[in-house]
Amino acid sequence: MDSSPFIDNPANKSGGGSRYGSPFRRISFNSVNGLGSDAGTAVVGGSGNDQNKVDELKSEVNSLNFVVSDLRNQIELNKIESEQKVNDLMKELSQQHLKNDNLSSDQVFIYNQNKELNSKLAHIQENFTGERSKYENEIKDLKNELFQFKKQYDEVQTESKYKFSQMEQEQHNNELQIQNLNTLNSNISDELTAKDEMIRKLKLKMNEQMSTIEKLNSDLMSIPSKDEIASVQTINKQLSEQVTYIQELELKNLTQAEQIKKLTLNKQNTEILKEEKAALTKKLTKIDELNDTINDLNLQLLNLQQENAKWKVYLNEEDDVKIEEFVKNYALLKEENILLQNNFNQTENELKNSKNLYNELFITHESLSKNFNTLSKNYENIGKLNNELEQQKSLAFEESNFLREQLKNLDQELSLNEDDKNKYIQNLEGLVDEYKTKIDDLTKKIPKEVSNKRQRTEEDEAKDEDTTRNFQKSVSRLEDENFNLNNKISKLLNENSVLIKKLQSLEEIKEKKVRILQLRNNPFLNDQFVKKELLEALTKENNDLLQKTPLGETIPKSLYERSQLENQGLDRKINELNKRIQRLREIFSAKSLEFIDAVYSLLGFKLEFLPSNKIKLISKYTKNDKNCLLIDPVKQTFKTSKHNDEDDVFFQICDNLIDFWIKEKNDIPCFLAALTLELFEKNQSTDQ
Amino acid sequence: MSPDSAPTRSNVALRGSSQIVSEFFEYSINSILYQRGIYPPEDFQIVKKYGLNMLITNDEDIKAYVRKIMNQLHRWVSHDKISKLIVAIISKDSGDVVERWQFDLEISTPKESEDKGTSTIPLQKTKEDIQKEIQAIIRQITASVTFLPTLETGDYTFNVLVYADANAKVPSEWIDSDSKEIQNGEKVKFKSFSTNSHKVDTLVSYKLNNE
Repeated sequence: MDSSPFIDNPANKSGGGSRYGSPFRRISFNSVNGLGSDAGTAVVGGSGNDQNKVDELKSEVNSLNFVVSDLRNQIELNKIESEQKVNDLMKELSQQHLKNDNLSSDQVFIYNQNKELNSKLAHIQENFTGERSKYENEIKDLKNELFQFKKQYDEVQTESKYKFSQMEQEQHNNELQIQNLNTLNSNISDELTAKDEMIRKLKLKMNEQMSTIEKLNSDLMSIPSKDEIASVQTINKQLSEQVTYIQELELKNLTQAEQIKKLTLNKQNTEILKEEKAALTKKLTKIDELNDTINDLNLQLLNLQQENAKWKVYLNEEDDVKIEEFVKNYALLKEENILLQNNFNQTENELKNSKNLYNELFITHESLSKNFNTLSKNYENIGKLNNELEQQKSLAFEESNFLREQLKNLDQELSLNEDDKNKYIQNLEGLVDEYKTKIDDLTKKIPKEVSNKRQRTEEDEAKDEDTTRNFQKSVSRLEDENFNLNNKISKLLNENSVLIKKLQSLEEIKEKKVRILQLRNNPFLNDQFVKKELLEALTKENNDLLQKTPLGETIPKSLYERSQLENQGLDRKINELNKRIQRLREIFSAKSLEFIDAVYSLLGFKLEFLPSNKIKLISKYTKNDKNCLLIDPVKQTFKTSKHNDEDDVFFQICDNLIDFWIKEKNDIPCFLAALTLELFEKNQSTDQ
Repeated sequence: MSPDSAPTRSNVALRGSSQIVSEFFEYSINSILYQRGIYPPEDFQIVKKYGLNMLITNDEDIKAYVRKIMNQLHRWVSHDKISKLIVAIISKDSGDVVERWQFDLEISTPKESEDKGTSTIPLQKTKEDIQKEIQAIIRQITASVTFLPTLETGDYTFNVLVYADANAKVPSEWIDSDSKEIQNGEKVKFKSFSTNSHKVDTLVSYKLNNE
């Protein structure tokens, strides 16, 4: 690295810099001379100025070379880094492409799966609706079955109870029989053994007798004599008797064997009965299990009753409607309701239309009535005008008549003068024309007035129509609102009644679901039990006394029992009182201890109440507890007791104080106070 | 929750709460017996509880009876199987119920703080708060002797009834009873107290003497 400043610059310093001085050296030089920097160098450098510049330029070139090489290196490094980054990015891009492909494939897969799941869901929904209806049917069937099973169970339970009671009775009888038979059996077996022994003995005897007979026979055969014959006869007799006795015994034996057979049969019967008993006990356990199931079923029943009650809230209590029928009816009613609602809507629309029509007709009627009024007024005006015109006409007619008469007179006169006649006729014609014009004016005026009046009324009518329309609209709107509010109120009232019923039923159910419990052994029941026992004893005693004959001297047992009960009651009371006394004593002793403690702590004397009505006082400050004062408040005596001679000091103090306080002043409290003070001081001095 | 699994925090809280509730029942029964003079005052001893001087019975029979009830009650309360506890005071002569102290128990959910903008946190009641509420009830029971009719000591006995769930396990020592209601009786509601899991309302109904 030629261009490195760390290698070049020190060399420069050692070559050029050491001779002419580096800027550092130059500064130090300048500082010594005290001259300006540029001026100093110019004066000292002189001829080497160009060389310096060359060196500087060289160093600059070197540094620039270094910078260039550094920049090149940096560029190369950057290039490498950028290439690496490009490679990484390319890799990332490829990975992203791969991911994208995977995601697109996943999306396709998910889309397919979604499709499949949708189809499955639709299928499942179809199946579900089918299955639901099936399950509902099954539930219904199961409920029916449950009901039947319940019935069966009840029947079976009653039967089993009946059978069980019968079997128990039989068992009881059989047990009694068995006991009797066992006793019989034992007796008979004893007899049998006795008889067997007897038979054995008799057989032995018989054998002996037989041997004697044989002997005797042999003897008889050898020496026959009368006595022997007699003896033989007697022996024979005995023998025959014994044989008959043996026969009787054998008969007895046979009968007893039969009896034994019977007993064995009975034993077998008892075993069978025992087996039956075991079976019945098994049945009993089953019945217990069934009882458990019954309890469960009862709980279920209670729940169902709750539901039923919930539903029944919406019905009247008297209605005994099955839910299925109710639901069917409800569906029918719903359909009917929809139809009726449609009809109602239609009729409502019609009603609205008719109302609108009515309003319009009302408005037209109003306008027409107003028109009619105006027209009637017009008619009256016209009538008046007509009358005027009639009057004018009659006047005109009268005038014309008068004029005709005048004309006739004039005709007569005209015959005299034709000129005057013409003038007069012209005057008359003029008058007629005037009348005509007047009449025309009047006739023209009438329709004009009428039309004016009509114009005025039409404007008013338009205004009136608008106001009436508005009024009618507001009235119809308010009517609609009123109708809606009425509907709302009725709905809310219905809801309220339903909710009240629901609340009542819920409270009832809640009450049913709660059990009120008490302990079997509680004070109230115990008290009641004692009373009941006493009452029973008294009634029994009463009955016995009533039944007792007046001559009898004995007392009924119930009287004794009643008195025993009363005694027990008294014992209880005594126990209670003893307990109370014990507690009072305890309290008294505790309180008296408290009192003694208080006295000890406050007055410095321990009090002991002795049985001989004396009070023993032991000072707090005596070292020995046996140094005490004995006060007899009855006899007014005062004693000091001494334990040993060491306590003479105590007694000296006591004697001194007794002399002064009791003998002279007769004041015990002051004596005691003085004694405590003296003893305290004594103790203090000995401690020091 | 299975019995083998570790107790959760709420379960522990419920147990603690049921302990507090059953303890309250025990002390209130004792207070009623003392204040109403069912047993003589020498049968009771003073103990410190709820920051008050409470009186509890000294009689072994009554102690055993109350203890038996409390043992079972604690189980029922922790399993939420009871809704009411009744202390009925009954005349020994007539068998009439003259007073009926009713404690209604219900499961309560803790109140939530109402800070706007922050998430709602359930307010946990401290022991001191609960104790203050119980103190107030016990004081009310003590003060009730001022308005309740006077009862002669020794003429009355008492019985404790429990309104239990129909599904609750009932030991053979317990039997069914009637509700021992007082028809047309006066009713006075007392203050109530609540733990983080339970709420207890107290009410006394009594027969007036002139009836």
